[in-house]
Amino acid sequence: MRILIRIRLKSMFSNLKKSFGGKKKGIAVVVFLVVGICLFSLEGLMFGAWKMLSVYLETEFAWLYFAMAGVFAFALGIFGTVFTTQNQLYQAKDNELLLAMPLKPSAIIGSRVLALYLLTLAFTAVVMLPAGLVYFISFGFSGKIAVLLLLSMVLVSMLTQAVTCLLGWLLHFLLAGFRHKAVVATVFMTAVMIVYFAGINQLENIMLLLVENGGKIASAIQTFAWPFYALGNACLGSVSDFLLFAVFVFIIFGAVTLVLKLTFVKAMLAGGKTKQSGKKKRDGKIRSAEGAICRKESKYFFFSTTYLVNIGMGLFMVAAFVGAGLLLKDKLDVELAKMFEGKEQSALPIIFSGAMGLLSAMTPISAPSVSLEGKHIWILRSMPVSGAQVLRAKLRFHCIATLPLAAAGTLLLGFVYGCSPMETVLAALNAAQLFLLCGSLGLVLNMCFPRLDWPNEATACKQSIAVFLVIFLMFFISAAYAGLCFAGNKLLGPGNSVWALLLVTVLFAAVNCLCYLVMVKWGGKRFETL
Amino acid sequence: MLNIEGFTKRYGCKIAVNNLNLHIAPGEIYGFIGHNGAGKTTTLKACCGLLDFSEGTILIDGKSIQEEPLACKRELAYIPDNPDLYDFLTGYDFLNFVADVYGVPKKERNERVDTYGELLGITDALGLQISEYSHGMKQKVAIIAALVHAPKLILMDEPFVGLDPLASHQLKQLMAKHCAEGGAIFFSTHVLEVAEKLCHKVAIIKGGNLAASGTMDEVRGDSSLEDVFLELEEKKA
Repeated sequence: MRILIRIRLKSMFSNLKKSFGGKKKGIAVVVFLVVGICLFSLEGLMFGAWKMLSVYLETEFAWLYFAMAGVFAFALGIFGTVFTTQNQLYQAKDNELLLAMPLKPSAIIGSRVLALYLLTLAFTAVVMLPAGLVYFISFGFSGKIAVLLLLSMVLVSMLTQAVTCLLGWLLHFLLAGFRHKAVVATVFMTAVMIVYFAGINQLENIMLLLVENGGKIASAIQTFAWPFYALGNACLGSVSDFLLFAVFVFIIFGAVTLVLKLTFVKAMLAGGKTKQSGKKKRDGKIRSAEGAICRKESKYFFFSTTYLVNIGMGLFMVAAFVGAGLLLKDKLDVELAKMFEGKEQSALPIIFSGAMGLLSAMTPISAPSVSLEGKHIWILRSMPVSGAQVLRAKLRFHCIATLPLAAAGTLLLGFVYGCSPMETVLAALNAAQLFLLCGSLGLVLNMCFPRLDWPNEATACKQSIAVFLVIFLMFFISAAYAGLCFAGNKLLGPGNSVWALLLVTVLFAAVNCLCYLVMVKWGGKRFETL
Repeated sequence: MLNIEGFTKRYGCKIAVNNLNLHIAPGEIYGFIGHNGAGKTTTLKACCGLLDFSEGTILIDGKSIQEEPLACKRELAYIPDNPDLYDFLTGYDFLNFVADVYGVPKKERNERVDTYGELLGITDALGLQISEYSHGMKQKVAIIAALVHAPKLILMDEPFVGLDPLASHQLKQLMAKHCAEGGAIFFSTHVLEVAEKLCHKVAIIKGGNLAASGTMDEVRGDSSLEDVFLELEEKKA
């Protein structure tokens, strides 16, 4: 067990090190800075939220403050780690190897759960530490409360981990019955993300609602979720409540561990594969070399749950964005009129295409695609195709998967919101341009930081510098795009918004050409040396 | 068909292959023998353009693999020792993918896939996803993929590992047929009996240096290939 834990932790830190650029110090500093900025912003958001909820601390429901912290940490932990848990527990590549060794299944599960637990603990800390900080700023530091708060964080993480393992276990058996597991998992994950973003968007309103309805919520928690009532009291210094919460958590954690232990081998032996017929007809279509690689990319994208969930969720978000835009038109019309003081008609094409740009950052399909070749890289490298052809084919798939949806969505929104035909077309063109840029930029960055030695797909998708940078850059580029359009509108004066949009379109076309050339010329050569 | 002249591959200070010279003519099955880490896979990978090198030249049908890699790759096929194929494709999908990349017309590809699939006994499983294949089944698909574009030169790294006896026998027949039709095969193996029975020529590599090469009779003389190999290994010790 100790050896397994050591291996697991070693692998985690090695992956983390590689994600931060390995031995390349410059990259490590950039990635560290970007992560730092993101974390700082998130913590700022959390700090603001807890500042609002700190009014509870001066009422008879003071415990509700930390109970809410526990509930938020619990929810965030589950959203953040359920797929990773399912992947690490049931789809780890070394499961069969380890099961063939004289090791107890409980030791294998234990080592994996511990590694996952550290991740969950990080999610809990993101929520509960700012809550503690706000408390100490308001009421002064107390050693006893600090210790109980830290121990409660450990317990909340255990509870979250137990429930996540249970959901991962359920997910494993549920997905086993589906042929297109990746699509089902992505739809589920997108729904979760929509709820999450809606929650973040409405955070202030939710907080106000919580502040206004403290009494009702307190009574509901006391009745239906008493462990969180105990947690709230524990964080305020009640040792007996802490012990009560600890007993509850240990019972749940123990029960889940027992279920996992008893079912792990069976789950592994079942394999989780959907039965297929070996007599399936061959695909009779003849394709060009690039067409064949493009098709291979599409097959992989829709086959791999990890790839689709982590990288392709933006596709579903585009659909959700367009759907929301159409359904909430009346409400949005009022809000936009308030925001732009009657000039919203010229702003709408910029908002639609800029939003598509932001969504492109959530769809960096091409960014991990070279790294994902992994051990299969020999196939393409031994074939008569140039690196440029391979990258073009990968970009082609990125475009096929994203461009039509983004352009059609923008056209539809422009049409429904009554933008002029020219502005609508330009907005759709720019939405497509931003997705195209995301594709070629992703490939250039992947060629800068290729990683073929990943232990599982999640590493290539989630911990890739290329993916991380392209997401960050596309947020920045989309903001710059919208900024340039608005600046153009202002400079050229009223009635000339089409010209402003056209100028930015030309500018982005030039940027796209440049990025494409770098991808084909430099990236293609680099691919041939992998 | 394959000319290796003064090929040297270094990994940092370590020389993996040192000044290797080999000539494989059309119609020849050339066996490449050596202990683990002797430099067999390095040589095979360099021959098919998977490894870069700074010293020596490798010519495929008169063209340099470094200067005209795509033209060379069109003439050859490579089967690695551990065929990691795309798990997310079915056998048919993978073979179609390879045929598409090499531009094999529909009629020819279907004929070849059917013929080799039947011969190796895998036709019934070609509709399954490769993730469900055993090592031997993947090896069979890799062999069909190598043959589907009718290459002039086939490079194989331990091709018999994981194959059942019948498939092994069929592969030997296929290799003989390929060479009888003017193709060439350069393959590495640890199975000396196979090399002895199958190869026209053989090369023994030891610590990156060519220890012996030539026709089977030239290399083994009056003794067996195993004796020659063991003798060379003892000399090393």
